[in-house]
Amino acid sequence: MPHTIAEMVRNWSREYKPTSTSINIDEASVEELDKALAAAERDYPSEYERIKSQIDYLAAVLYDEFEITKYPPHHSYPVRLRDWLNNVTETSDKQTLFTLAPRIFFIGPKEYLSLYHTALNGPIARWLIDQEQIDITGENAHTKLQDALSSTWFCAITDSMQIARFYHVNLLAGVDLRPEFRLLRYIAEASPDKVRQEFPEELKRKVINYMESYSPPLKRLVLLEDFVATGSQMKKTVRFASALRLDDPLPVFLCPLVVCQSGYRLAKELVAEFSNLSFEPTLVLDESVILPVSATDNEDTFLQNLRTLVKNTYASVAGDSSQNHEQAPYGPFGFGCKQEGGGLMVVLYTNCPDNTLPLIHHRSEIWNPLFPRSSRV
Amino acid sequence: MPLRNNPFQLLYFTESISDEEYTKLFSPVLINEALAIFQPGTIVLEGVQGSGKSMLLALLKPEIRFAYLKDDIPFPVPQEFSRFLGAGINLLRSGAIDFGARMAKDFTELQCKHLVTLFGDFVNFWIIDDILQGLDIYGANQTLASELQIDCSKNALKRFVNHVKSKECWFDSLRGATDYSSLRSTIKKRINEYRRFLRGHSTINESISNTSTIAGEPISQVIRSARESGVIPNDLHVFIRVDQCEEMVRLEAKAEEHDLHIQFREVVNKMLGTRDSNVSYRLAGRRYAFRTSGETRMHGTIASLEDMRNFAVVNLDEILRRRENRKNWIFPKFANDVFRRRLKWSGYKFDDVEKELISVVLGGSLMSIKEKVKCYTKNSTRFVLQMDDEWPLSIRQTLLNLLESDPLSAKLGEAWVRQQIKNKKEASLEYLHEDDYPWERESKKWWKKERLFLASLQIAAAQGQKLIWARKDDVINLSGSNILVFVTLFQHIWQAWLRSQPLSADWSDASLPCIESHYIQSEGIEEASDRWYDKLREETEGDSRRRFVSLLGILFRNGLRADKDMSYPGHNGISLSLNDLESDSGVYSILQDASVYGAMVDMKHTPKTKSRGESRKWYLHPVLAPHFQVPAMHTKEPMYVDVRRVRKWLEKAQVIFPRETSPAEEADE
Repeated sequence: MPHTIAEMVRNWSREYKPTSTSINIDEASVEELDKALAAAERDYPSEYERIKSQIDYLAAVLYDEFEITKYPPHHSYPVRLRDWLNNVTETSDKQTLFTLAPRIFFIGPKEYLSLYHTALNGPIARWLIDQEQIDITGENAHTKLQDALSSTWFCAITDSMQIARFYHVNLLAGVDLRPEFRLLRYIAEASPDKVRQEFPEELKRKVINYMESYSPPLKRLVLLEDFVATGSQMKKTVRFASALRLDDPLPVFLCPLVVCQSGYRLAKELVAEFSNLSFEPTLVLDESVILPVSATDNEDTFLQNLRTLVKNTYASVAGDSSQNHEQAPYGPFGFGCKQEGGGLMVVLYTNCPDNTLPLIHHRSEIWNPLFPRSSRV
Repeated sequence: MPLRNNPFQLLYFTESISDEEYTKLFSPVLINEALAIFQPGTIVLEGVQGSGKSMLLALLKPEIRFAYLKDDIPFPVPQEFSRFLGAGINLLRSGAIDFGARMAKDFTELQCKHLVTLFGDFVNFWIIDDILQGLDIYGANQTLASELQIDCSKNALKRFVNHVKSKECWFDSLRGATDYSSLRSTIKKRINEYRRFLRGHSTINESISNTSTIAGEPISQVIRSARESGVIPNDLHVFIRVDQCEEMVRLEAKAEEHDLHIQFREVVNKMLGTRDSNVSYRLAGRRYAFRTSGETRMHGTIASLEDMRNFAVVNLDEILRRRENRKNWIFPKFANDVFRRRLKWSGYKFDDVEKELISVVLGGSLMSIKEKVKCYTKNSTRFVLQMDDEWPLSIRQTLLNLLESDPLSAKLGEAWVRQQIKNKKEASLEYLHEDDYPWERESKKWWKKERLFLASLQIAAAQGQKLIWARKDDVINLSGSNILVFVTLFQHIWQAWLRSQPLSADWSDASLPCIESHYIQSEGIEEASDRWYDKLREETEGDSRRRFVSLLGILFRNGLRADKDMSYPGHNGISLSLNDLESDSGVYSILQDASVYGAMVDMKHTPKTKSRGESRKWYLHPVLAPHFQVPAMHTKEPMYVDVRRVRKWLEKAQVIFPRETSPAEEADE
């Protein structure tokens, strides 16, 4: 951590506020003493020293994996943190950003490897067992499950899902082509050529033909995605895949590795729409990764301070779009805050989603981001 | 080594450095105090974790002796004590503690005993292998061999093997050994068989099970054979190290969790109990690791070990402890030497004649309490004085005037006024005058000295500031005579200093840095204190001990802060009479363990009233003082408590369960 931050934390920490000073140990009840002992645990090291240690640790083992900033001109995490804190001048604002830093839910490459593994051994295995009605207590259960895997096509919804790694980690072999379904859908539906009105159906037939002619035939489709926030990117693609074969609908399983609450709700709606579509995510993010647009009951002070800061700094975060090449953020809480009810505090090692609070990822002429986003458009 | 590295990053050295590095890092300061280690007779070397036991015992290793010779550095043991052959076992490194992994919940008593027998056999063979390895080292070096009159010629070794094989202790386990080299490979093979077993491979080979030896006996016989065959002379002492003995206590505690009574310590006790003049054992471990009553039984017997008769104790904690006369305190000298060696080893260049290296690096030997109070009151003195409204205006005005120029004296004045009012000596207040403050008089020198820290503590608390710990004296005092704590403190101070350096700093500069900022020093010290507090959890029953320490920390801190008239400046410790303590073994052992595991320090206490009888006083380990923001020093009288009060604290903090009270005790309540 740069010496200027260390110096700053040292100054913040010199204020001495023990919380367990009033108790008389001889007269206290068991519960009162218990409370005092728990409070004493929080007295030292100070809150900010504790956060500093946490940041130092996470920077070394996790944040360094952020791919966007691996090479120049980007700076290392500690330097970005310093510049990020220096975006604001008030001590209380710096403290809010400093507290936010380790609370960002960062999903690193090792976590994704685990998610690939868990997806196959959890939701996907359960779906296959149901599909093939495998008796898991039976002697040949394992062989049947292997057969079911061989007749399943695993494909990505978008190119951010690294489907090859999913195959490698899980030692899956066999299927040579693993297309990105969003692209297939785009080619099928976006053809402006009126002469080729039939093209979407033709492409669907070709996909089905490929699956049926494969040896062994691919009887079902699993659609994977690394991260689903509101689900706007996957919606049309899942519909397209679910309607590949209308007479005898192809079983489709939608399995996002990480999904937010709004994406989860959308997926449930899609399942209600298609009888051949099933859905089970690997990891569902809860409310703790969201900064709600408006205050909620029993909200902690940190979230209140952060919300105020997000709103107050938005002009600086957005900057003057005519002066920088960045696309303006969708608002102080980022893309999809309407569906999500707030902005995310989530960063993936591959990129920062645009649903995340822009003050974390957006660059302007007067704002330095902590995890700069590589924009698709 | 790049100077950007922290010279104190490695806390434990003995296990991780090469023999050559040892000669540079080992501090010989303690040797003169622990010469008993190099004289015949079995020694139990006691000391808390990190007191330097393993480093001292390493001097017995032939490899280390050879390294000194090779580097042309004089062997630090005085010549008259250096005629010895050393060998031994580190219970942790050798894998002996893995016997714990071979315990099963459903073990019968017989199976428990069998496992202990195997453990003893493994220790025997490991030590014998080490003796032979030592002979090989001496044999390969003519200078050492002739100095110690060791004969490792072919003929001598042949005679040696014949003598060894003729002894009855082996139960035919050395049948395959025809010469020295096959003797060595037979022993190695047996150790490897144990390694397989300890790594979880099925069961132990039946041929080993049937020939398991009696703890200590084969070691004695090998040494006897070496003398009989002329390999070693009769006057050469043989010292056998058994290091990390507390691991056996840990193993036994693990067995107890499964209701198994496995006494690994009996094996070592049996070795000591043989009273063989051919061999002297050196056991290293924490205090009480061997001597707790009922646990000094010898394996396979009901005889107990007797302190002084079977072994003598060298207690490093006692050697290093500060006595009344600070001049005789050896720890500062030891710490300075360790500090100097670490820096030199890390590549720093400095003048060897510089005596006070720690002071040089920390920008001085002392930061006075007055200077610290200046920092606490840098921005304002608003909250320093807490005077009562009913005090005469003139007194309040006098103290307020003093506050401007000397907040520390003003705070002491406040306490003095409170004491006068409490003791109904209001008349003395009338003579309070700016030219002659009573608490500043020569006659009140001790009154003032004993309350200086308390006054600074109350000022810091009122001003909402953390206490500052800085300069050499604070570091030495907070170390509590423990070299591991000292190194830990410097590890964090150095880390804090490295953090304070700009990225553009010149890292090729090998001159000694001066970490002048007291804030940086204090930050490092606080970190080390927090780390030490966290570490308490790592040991057996560490969670409970940590809870107890936390309770005492709150008790002392709150008491000292609330003691406005400063009547009890020594209430950062407790005193209990031994008679009283012995009535409650549960409380007594918690207090003893707290000292053994470095959570507290205890010492003899002479109470004010004779009727209390022999007493002991306990303080939090000084390194915990920054964590709890209490004084590290021990001044005036500690808090006098009885065992029932301590028990109530422990029960309330859920450290121990309430015991059933007898009707007599109930009536007493």
